[in-house]
Amino acid sequence: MATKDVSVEPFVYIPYEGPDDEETADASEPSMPTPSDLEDVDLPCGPGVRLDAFERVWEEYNEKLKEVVKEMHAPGVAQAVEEVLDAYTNVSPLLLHTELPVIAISGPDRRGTATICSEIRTSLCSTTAEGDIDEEDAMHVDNSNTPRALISSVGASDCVNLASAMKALIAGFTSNYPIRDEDFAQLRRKGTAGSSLVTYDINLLDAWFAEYKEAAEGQTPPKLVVFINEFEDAEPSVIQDLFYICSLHIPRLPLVFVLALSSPKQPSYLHAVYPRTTLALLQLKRIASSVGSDPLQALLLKVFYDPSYEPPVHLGPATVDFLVEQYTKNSGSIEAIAGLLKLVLLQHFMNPLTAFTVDDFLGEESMEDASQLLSEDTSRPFLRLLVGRLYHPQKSTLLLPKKKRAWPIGGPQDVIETVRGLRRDVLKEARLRRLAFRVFLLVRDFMLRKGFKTASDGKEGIGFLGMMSACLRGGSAAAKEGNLSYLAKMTRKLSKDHLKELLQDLYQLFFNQPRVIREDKADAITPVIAKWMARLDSSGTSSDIAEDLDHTTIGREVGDWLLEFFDELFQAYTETNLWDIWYTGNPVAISELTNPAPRVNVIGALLNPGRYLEHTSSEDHEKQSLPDTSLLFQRYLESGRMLNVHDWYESFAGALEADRSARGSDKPSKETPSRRGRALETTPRRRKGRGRGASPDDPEGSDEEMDDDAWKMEMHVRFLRGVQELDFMGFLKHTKRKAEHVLKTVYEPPEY
Amino acid sequence: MPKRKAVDAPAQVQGPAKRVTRSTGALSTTQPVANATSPTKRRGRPPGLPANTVPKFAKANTRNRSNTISSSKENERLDDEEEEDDDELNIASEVEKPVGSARPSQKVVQDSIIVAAPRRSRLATQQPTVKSSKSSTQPSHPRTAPPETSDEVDTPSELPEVASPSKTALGKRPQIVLPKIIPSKLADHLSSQKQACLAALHDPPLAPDDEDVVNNLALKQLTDLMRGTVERGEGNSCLVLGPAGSGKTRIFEKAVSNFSGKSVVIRLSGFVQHNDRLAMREIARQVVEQTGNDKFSSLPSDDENPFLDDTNAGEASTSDVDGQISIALPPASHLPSLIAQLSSLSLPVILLLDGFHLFTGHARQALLYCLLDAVQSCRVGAEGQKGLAVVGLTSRVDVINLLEKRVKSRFSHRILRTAGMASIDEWKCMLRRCLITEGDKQDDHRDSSSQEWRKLWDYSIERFLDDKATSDGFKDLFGLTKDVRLLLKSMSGAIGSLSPSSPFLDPSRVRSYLSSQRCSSRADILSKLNYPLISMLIAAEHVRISGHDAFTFEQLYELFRIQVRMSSAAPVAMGASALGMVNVSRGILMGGFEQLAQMGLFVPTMAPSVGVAKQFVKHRCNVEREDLRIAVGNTQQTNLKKWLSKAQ
Amino acid sequence: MNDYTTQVADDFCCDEELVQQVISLTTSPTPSFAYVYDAQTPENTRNMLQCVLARSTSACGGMNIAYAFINCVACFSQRLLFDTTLNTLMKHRSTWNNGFGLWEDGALEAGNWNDSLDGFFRGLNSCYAMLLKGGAADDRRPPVSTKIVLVFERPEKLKETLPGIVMPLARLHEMAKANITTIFLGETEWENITPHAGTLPDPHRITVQTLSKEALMRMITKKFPDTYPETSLSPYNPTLKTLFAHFVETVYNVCSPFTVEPKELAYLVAARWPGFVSPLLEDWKHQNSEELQGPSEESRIRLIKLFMPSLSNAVESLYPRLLSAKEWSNTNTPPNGMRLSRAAAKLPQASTTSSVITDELPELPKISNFILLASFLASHNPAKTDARMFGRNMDDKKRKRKKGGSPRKQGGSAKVSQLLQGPMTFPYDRLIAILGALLLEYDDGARQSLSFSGSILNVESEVFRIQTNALIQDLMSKHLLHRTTAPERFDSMQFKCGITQEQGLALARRLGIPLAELMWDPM
Repeated sequence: MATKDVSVEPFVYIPYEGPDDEETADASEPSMPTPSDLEDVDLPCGPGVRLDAFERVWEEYNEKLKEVVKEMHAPGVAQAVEEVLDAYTNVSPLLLHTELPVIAISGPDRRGTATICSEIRTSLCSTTAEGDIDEEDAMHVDNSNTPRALISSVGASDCVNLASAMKALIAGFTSNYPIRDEDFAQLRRKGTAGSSLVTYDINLLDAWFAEYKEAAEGQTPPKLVVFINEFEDAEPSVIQDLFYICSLHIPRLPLVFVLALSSPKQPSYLHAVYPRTTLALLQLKRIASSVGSDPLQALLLKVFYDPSYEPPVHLGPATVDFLVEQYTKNSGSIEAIAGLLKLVLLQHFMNPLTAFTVDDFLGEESMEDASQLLSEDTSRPFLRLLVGRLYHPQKSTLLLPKKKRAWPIGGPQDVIETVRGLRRDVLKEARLRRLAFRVFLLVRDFMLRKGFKTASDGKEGIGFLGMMSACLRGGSAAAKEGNLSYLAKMTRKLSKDHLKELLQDLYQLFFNQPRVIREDKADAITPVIAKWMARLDSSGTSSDIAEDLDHTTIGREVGDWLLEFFDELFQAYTETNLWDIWYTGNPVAISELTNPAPRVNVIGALLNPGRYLEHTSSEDHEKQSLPDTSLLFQRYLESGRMLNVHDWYESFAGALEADRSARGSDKPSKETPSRRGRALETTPRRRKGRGRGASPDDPEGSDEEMDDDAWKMEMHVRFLRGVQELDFMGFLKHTKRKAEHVLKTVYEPPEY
Repeated sequence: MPKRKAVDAPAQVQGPAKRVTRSTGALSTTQPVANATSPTKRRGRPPGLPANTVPKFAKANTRNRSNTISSSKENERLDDEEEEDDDELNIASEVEKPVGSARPSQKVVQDSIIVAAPRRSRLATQQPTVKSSKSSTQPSHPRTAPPETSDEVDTPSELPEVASPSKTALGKRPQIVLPKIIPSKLADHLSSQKQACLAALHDPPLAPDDEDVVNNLALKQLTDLMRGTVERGEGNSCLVLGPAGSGKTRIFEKAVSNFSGKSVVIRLSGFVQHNDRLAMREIARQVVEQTGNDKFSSLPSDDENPFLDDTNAGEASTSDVDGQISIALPPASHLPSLIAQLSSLSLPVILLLDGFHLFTGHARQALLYCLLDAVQSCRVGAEGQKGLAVVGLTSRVDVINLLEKRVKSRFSHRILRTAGMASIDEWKCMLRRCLITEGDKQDDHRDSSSQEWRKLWDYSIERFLDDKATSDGFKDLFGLTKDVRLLLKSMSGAIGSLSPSSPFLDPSRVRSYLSSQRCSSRADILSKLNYPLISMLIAAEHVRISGHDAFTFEQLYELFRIQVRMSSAAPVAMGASALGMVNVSRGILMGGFEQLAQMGLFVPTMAPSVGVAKQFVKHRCNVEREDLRIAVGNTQQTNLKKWLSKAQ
Repeated sequence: MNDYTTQVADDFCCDEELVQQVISLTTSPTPSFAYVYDAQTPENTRNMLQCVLARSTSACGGMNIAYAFINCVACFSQRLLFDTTLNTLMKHRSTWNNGFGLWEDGALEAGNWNDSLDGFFRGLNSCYAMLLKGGAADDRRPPVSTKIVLVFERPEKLKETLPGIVMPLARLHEMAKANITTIFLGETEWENITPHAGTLPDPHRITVQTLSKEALMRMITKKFPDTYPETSLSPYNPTLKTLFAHFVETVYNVCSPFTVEPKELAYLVAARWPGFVSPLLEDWKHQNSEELQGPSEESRIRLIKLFMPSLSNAVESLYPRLLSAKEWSNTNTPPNGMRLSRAAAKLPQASTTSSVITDELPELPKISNFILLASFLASHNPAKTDARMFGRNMDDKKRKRKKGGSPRKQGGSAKVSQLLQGPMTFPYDRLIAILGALLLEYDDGARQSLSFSGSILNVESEVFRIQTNALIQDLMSKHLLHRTTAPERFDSMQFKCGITQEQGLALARRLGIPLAELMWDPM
């Protein structure tokens, strides 16, 4: 579906960046620089370097995303495969009829379902199955020449009538799996058309399968799996009969159906549409991939908040919030998020400084070359900017200090060194933040498990998504969002064994961190925890009150420790200079890219074209008149719900006349409307427009005074063209009844 | 009395037949006809016989019977005279229904009373005689029955028992004359008898020719018409018009059978040849079959049509799905020449168009046009040209109006009419003809058991036919339809159900069969339904009351829920415990709703579409309130009754 | 013959009367066309027929009967019908080796038999001829007793697929000029099948009576397998047979008001039985003595009382197939280790509600939720009331809504609430308009913007964003929203909401919108 994809691929559209964009940009977040003021501070080789960097980073993320999605699907796939493989095996002997096993896969959306199905298909086709279903493998490894399942897939387009559906189903098997390398089709051709089974006769499949089993002597016969894609689009009455017919031939034909649903598991499409009699034939197994906010959580957690994985570029809090918002508000699909992420990265790498993001040498081999590069005077502005940012961290702006300053000692090389140092710090800081976040999660989940009311429960996922961004903004914000003090209070209140449990978990967490982190932090902490645990154990020996005191004191200590731990590690990401090399900034512009509001902008443009025409600034506003189209549009708005075209023209002509008389007949300004009209054009009519724009020149050039009918002609033309454009933009609806009237599609819009 | 002549004549030559007449004579009112059947059944037409002896014989027959019985009781004699003139009546007016049907019925009542009385008493004495007759090798005398009736007539003790004739007639009689369970040696007689009767029922013998019933007239005319074609090479066209089951086809076949071998008979049916091209090919086939004429075997067919041949012709191309076959059919353009060839065959052609009215539906009525045109254009005596007769069979009276003008103008408006049976008595005659038949011919009649069987069987048939319950059943059926096929069907059902445990026809059983063959009444289907379905129906009734005739599932469910709530508020007191209506989950009710739709009790008023969820598809209920009321009455559910009663 | 009848009747749990009829039907030359009406157990009757036909050769006085069962749903095209009939009739299997060829007798090749009705008749005819030959070949059998029986299942389907063919089938006997009996085995009355009454000869009707309780239970209990060894700890241990009988009776008593279809009852039984005996099996595991015996009287009663409540639950979820038997019995197994000897008074309530299909909507993007709700309102409110419902100027008090009171109360042709009649269609513009109104009113995102006009502007742009359309498409693919106009039409699209009233309410609750106030019809 055309519009569906919009949510996934970036939408090509040039947003209007006007003065009214200011308040949308969050004041607290430094807004990303716009391209215009960047190109002058860029390195000569900058774009290339950054593009490479971008590609590397995106590649890495993409891989990561893919595997995250894959393992998100994994359980469902495994389940489905298992269902298929032990269909018809252990049926209750008490049933009066054998049921037709049907597995309904409902993914997040059409695309998601398709991917899941393809995964199922692949794992079915692999004769030596992967480890999850061990028993079958043992059986299948030795005689691995027969697949575990034969697959035929039927598209919704086949299901227009029963015959074509059956034909597709049968042909899917017979033509894809040759028996003894004989061509099935040739075989059928032996008889004339009339004298052999019809291709949509299920008896044909029956006979064929008998032969197949014959050929695969003695091995366990494979299942016949039928995939029905876009199941909702298939004609229910057809499918109904299809199921019925197939149910007549089971279990002789071990048919298993896999339906690819784009509708969710609840409410069930099958139960909503198909009659009970049909459902009674089936043994329905409905498998749904997880929907809602948890896929996004899992994704962010795996990619950006996993202490063991080091993302080259970190998401700024604004980006996290943005992603979450887009996901929960607009499109609940991971692909969409991936697309957004890509855009975010692109935008990120527009910043010249991000040349440093992945390597310190700006794409050169060595430090020397890099410093060489920097010391060239083409790259001076860049260097200046860099230095400015390095030594004036407090004003994180791009405007460089005007007054000439002395170079820092050591020159560019030194600068690079510092940048390198910075990176180290940033990465470490980020690492620790991730660690702290994990600790936070652990404690929080622990509390939830133990049934304490935690802050931000209710909408749980969102709660900790919020925390994700908050912990980037620094201690205070984090404390507010995930209210840590409350957590700490809880910890202090913990009973003895609860506390013990918590401590053990913490110990495990720290102990299992990768080496880097352990060096940084964890190793310092583990002994402390160990000591606490030891004290807890020992406290068991002493008398009750003492022990009680003891473990409460420990609890208090732990609580306090937690607080300061969080406070220490949840650093605001803007602390370090040059944060914007490693953290993405405010992506508000991207939302305009992915999810534009063309209509509003078009109307806005028509109402006050001044904002959109480049050269308006040159001339003063009250003197010049509106372009034709917006002139027409204003008249349009003033009228009732139906427009009489003639009246419309009259008023339009009137306006032009007024305009003309006002300006007298001085040539240069006389051109303006047409030029402006041309400037305004956003439609493929431009060429025609040009031709029109060119034509009036000659007569005006030739004779001084413009004769009226020519002028009238021009007005006619301009009117028609304006109306055409409005029509093209969908402002007019033509009534069949009245030729001279058109319907409006827009009534009084709010003032733009 | 031409009738009796024809009727009794064969009785003399045929031993068994005579025995039949005698033994049955005592009880049968319509005996002559009964006799008439057996010969006609066996050979097509009875041979002309010396007529003079017959009436005397018949008189004697009846005479002595009347004597024997007159000695018994006056009311029986009275009844017997009634029999007498009832005979007269039958003979005189063949088809005077009111009299014919009314009189005998009440008579039958009486005689079944009287006659029943002595019969029962025979329980004691008859058994040994039957035994002896079984054991004795020489044929049992036909006259055994009447004397026995005569000698233990007056046993007054019976009279009270027989207060209700029908009951005794049904319950007791089999125990008396007819053994309840026949001995094993008669079992295979029974089975063979069944086979024979079923066969007879399957194609019942025609009425004897000289009864001037409509059909015989039609037969005669048709035969003449064909003769004209076959012998004088005329071109004839005619239409046999009559209600379904009035024997159109049979008449045609009978007529044609006279000219077998002297003509080519082509049978087409509008129900089979849905279009002209199919019909053409069929014509060609039949001609080739009957005359190895190779002109027809090589019909030009558009085989070389690239769209048709090659292997995937007749495969899932949608054209195939709707039963339209893409094999090579002769092109329609070939039609005229084909028909023209017909009349140039070596033999005259008789062409049957069954379901004539359907041929009028074909494109431009081309086939009819060509045929009738050929009929018109074939002139007598033209050398090398044989006759052609086109006979159409239809039950549509307005079929002429269906013809296009050009076709109509070519049709000789000769229409022969057939008619079904006009009265119950005719039905009975027909039945007697069918039922009293020798079973397997091959075993000889000397065999005592077979004779005994025959006696028992014929006797039982007579009893059965005379029984009041029977004729009432027939009346019901007759009131419904005059189509005799229905009668035959139900009879064959009854015959089929005979078994050694219940070897003989029993009026009540037969009656149940008669009713079973009729369209089963809604009420008893409904009363089989279970709780959810019934409540759906009641809800639908409520909707109808509220003035809508279409409803959705949701509406019914809403009503149901409300009703459940109310009834739980004010439950019906059942004995000690008061319980409201059982609540049923939505899913189950939905299933019930669909089931009703499947049974055709709910009819969707609009085609199902993807946009409309199934619980919102509008349905109409085609169950009559009365049926529903009965059904609800049958189910012992006071709640439902109350609910339904609220819908007024 | 007679005991044969009773035996068959016993095997298939149907009354002898029926069997008797069927036998005479299949063996005697007449009637040539019969209609067997069985609303309850067509499969069973079918098997009975098959058995009778199969054995008729030996049983009924040595007739040789060739028969074929044709399923009219499976044979959805004329060609298919003919092929299947002839093949099964002559027991011909088209295999790989004969190139999937059809049955053909030497003279004619099959091609001529499946192209048209005439061909079909010819085919039948030659079948009959061959049968006659075969019949004549062996012992002194008179050819009269040769006969073909064709049984058509689900004939009601023919009315849709091949209406033209019903009539010829009904009169096969005359048309094919062979001794053929056509039997329709239908689940609906004959009157529903006849194309138009009168053209068809009335069939010989046989109506199968609905099964008695005993017959039903016999049918189900017969399925209890005897294959398992005495010592096996499986629920199908033959010593449990008596218990099973009792169990089936219980199930019948509980479920018969809802359904008496044997298939369904068996389904319920199959779903519940393993769980039902599991406590007993537990006891067996723990008992030290070797031989396993069924439960005592009182323990059986305890067991049944224990599981009684779960049965009605089973009907609720299994009869509409909200769950498959497998899933259900998985969710409702008694806690393992639960033993009959020390069983609790009542079963722990299994969490079926979670697994049973709820109508609860999936988690959707926020805007999607709004769109859905808008669509719900749009297709349940009359279009002319929108101004009143969503008009900005008048506050909630002024909204004059039709006052409550069920429309059914006042007699005559009462107006039925739209909620019961199902959703109306509505144009795209209306959806957008209502969506805008909702966002403006209830979406805090839009509200928090500075000025009122500003919020209008926000909403306006929000509503006309590309994503909105994308989401509409998404909802349509999820079947929560239907497009009633053709997909290729872009202008004046019409929609219809696909969610139920309950879902609508839940949605409104999720968004914090007082739905009842916005509905024209009182809910």
